[in-house]
Amino acid sequence: MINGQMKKLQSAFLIMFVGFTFAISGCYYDNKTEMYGNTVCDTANPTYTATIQPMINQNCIGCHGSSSPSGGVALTSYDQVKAVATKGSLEGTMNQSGGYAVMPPGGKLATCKLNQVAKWIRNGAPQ
Amino acid sequence: MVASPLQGQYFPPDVSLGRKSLRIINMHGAAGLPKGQSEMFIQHRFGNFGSGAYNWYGLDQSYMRLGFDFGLSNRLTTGVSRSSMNKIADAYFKYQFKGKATDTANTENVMASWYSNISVNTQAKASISSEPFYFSNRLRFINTLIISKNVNDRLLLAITPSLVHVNLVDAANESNDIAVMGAYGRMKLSNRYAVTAEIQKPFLQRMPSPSGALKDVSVPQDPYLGLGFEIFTAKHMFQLSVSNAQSMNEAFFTTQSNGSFELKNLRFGFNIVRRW
Repeated sequence: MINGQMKKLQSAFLIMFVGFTFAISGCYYDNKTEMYGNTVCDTANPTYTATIQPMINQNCIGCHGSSSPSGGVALTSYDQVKAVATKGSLEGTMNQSGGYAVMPPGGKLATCKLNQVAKWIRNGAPQ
Repeated sequence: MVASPLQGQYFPPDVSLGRKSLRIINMHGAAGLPKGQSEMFIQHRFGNFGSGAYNWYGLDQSYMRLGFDFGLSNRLTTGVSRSSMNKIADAYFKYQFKGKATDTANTENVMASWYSNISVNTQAKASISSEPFYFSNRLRFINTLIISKNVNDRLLLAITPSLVHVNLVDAANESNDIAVMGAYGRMKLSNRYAVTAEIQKPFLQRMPSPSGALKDVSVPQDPYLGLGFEIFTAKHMFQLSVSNAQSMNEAFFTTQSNGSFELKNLRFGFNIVRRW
């Protein structure tokens, strides 16, 4: 590589390195319960619209959206989510108990959410 | 054992990965890049074998990560990458304080590095948390001490204790810090082939927080485990692997709950590494 280019590349990385140092000072100790409320786990009467859909939108839709969803599993409509719920694969995959792909891949959802999904399915997956 | 005197040539001086690839499978090795050298890597991780013939045993589902590394000096390496899993962008620096990246002779048996990585979840705000949204909600950090030792001409073993910090967790009693213990090994079969293995698992059930209270860590039941086979051609390094994690970012696969090490939970993956 030509010397001048190398110098430029080096200074670019140096800037990045300094950037790190600032970024690392951006270390916080936050949790959703204290920041955004919802301290009580409401498993009374979960419905698709009120409980399941927001959960899906937050955790699944990034990969299981409408255009070429991962693994051919789309979770954009009530019917699609109900289909995997009644098949048993939704609970299996979220509980990560084996036999199903581990989802979400970034780590199991909170116990509260898993309980809500279980209750919703037992109640017949109401819309 | 012949040490190559030529800079930039792909003649492995010893069992350590120093002159071939910065990574083992998912983890960083202790060696850094020599000054002015760069490395490009492409990683793929497929779905698990248990997903059945319909999904071609996982090959239909893939996540990829593309990255670039650069040797700032013979001790300091830095790099950036972007992964399609959770849309994670990350950047790191690695400071090798024991052993030198340019050491072609097999004189340094022990290498040690400090690895520091910041990852940014670039998904839409709504898929991360409610409002008011803070940029800090997107961040995770991992700091790792990597100590490797060439046991003999063929075998390298390393331990990698880490501290992961997650800026935003779900529950109030959940710890933002996670202590992880790990190790990796590399067994050289010839100058072209080697087998590798790595393991990572959080090991403390409770961690102190700044408020002084002890908070819970959700320690996964099974460790992250990866087994690899390396094929080294004149210009490229191919690292084929079987593991139970689909994420390729250290701050994620070390702490998340991966499936147990049964065939149905395993997945195929590969890294392609090119160094200039």
